[in-house]
Amino acid sequence: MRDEDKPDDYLWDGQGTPDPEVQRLERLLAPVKFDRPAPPLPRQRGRALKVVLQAAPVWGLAAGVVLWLLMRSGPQPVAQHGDRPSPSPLPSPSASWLVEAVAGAPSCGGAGACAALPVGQWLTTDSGSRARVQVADIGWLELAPDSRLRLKATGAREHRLELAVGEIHATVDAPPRLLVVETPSATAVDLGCSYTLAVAPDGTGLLMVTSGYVSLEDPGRAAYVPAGAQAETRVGVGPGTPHFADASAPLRDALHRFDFQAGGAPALKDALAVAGFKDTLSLWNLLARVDGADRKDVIDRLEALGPAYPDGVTRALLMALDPDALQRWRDALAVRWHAW
Amino acid sequence: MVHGILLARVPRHEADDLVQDVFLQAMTRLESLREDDAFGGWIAMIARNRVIDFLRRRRETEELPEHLVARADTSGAEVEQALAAIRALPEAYKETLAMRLVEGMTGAEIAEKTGLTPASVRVNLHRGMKLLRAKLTGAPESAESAESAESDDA
Repeated sequence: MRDEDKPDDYLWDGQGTPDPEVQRLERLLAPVKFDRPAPPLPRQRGRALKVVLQAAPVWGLAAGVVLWLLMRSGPQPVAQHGDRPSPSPLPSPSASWLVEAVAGAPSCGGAGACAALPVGQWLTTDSGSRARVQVADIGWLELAPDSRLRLKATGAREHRLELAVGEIHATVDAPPRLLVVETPSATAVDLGCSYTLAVAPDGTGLLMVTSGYVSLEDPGRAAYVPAGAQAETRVGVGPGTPHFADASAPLRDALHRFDFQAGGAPALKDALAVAGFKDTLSLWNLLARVDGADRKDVIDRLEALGPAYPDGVTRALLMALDPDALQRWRDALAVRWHAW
Repeated sequence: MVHGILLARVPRHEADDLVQDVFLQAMTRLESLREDDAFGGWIAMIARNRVIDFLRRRRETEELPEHLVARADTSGAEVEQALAAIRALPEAYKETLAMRLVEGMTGAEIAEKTGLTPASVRVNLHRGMKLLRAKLTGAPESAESAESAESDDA
């Protein structure tokens, strides 16, 4: 029986045989527990649906505190620019994001300094300038020197940017898929996170995730990139196989050959041979990039490195790339990604 | 849960202040939440990003001389030692342990509110507590954690 499968009831829910150390820590830390009342609720207008949440178990508040939260019940207009048709009949052409010059003089549309980035406009920095952009009401991003960024659309259902060249660092508080950044070689879809995305003049890209997760997408290829991991992108190829920033050089080399140098089966074999526990991130992402006997080999290696299959996951389902099984298997593997 | 997430990353007095910020941010951005079931994970993410933003913007301050630091009694120092040890744990463990040991949430409650599977929460609690014991007793943790992980995976 594995260590963590042994009964640990007291640590789990305070039942069973008390653990003296856990009890000591509970008594010691009890005064630190958050028990203030919730902040006053701001007035909201035009809401159609009320949701009542019991706050205490979610926000660590004293029992009995109840918050009324008002939620909007319909879609909001989306302002867009470019060749993509608008999903809403009510575009907001006046929508713009606040811009702060952190260094030098970033320019909007080549017209000089700007305090706001409207839809359809390019924000440009030279070698001596840097900008901070308020991403609607969900976060912010920093635009590094020598960069060009365009706001293509902004609305309640999606915020879409285009990074032609340069680097951004984004920190977003939002549900998944609300912020999308297009680059010449792939599209970064925010899944609730903080990340750095860089694009070279030839369209080559590098995504590094600091917190949360990002999905890098291109037709026919996607990469799931969690915190601490990174992925390269190439024009005409799309996203490469993600790996953790501290992955071994042999693994990174094998993945690079497989992704961008037509390394094929030999490169895959090399990657599988050197992969360790934490490299299951890369192997999981490889499942959809190989087929037949190669996919079998990847699953064999994942089985050797990963935990037992959770409920709903079987070898047959993984071979068939069943979406639900893939996600469950990824969640089980992810426990190790953040523990090492 | 939010307080536990913050406490796993910043000192107690800062965590208490940031809780209010997180609540206010969540309320002003509630329009962007499209699924009620995603609320727990969504506000947890706001809390983590609020800490990132706070640490990036915080100015450096000089440390007070030791004799001016308020230490009313040894239990205060013991609390800080325990919290510091929790904050030094790997990401996956420190939040879960803060929610369990500080906020008094059960494993099932943690799983429900964070969106983690119960199995993941159980592993986080078990391994996190093992590392925490080692830190608090001064036992060598790196060898222990590596060996126990190896035996767990055998």
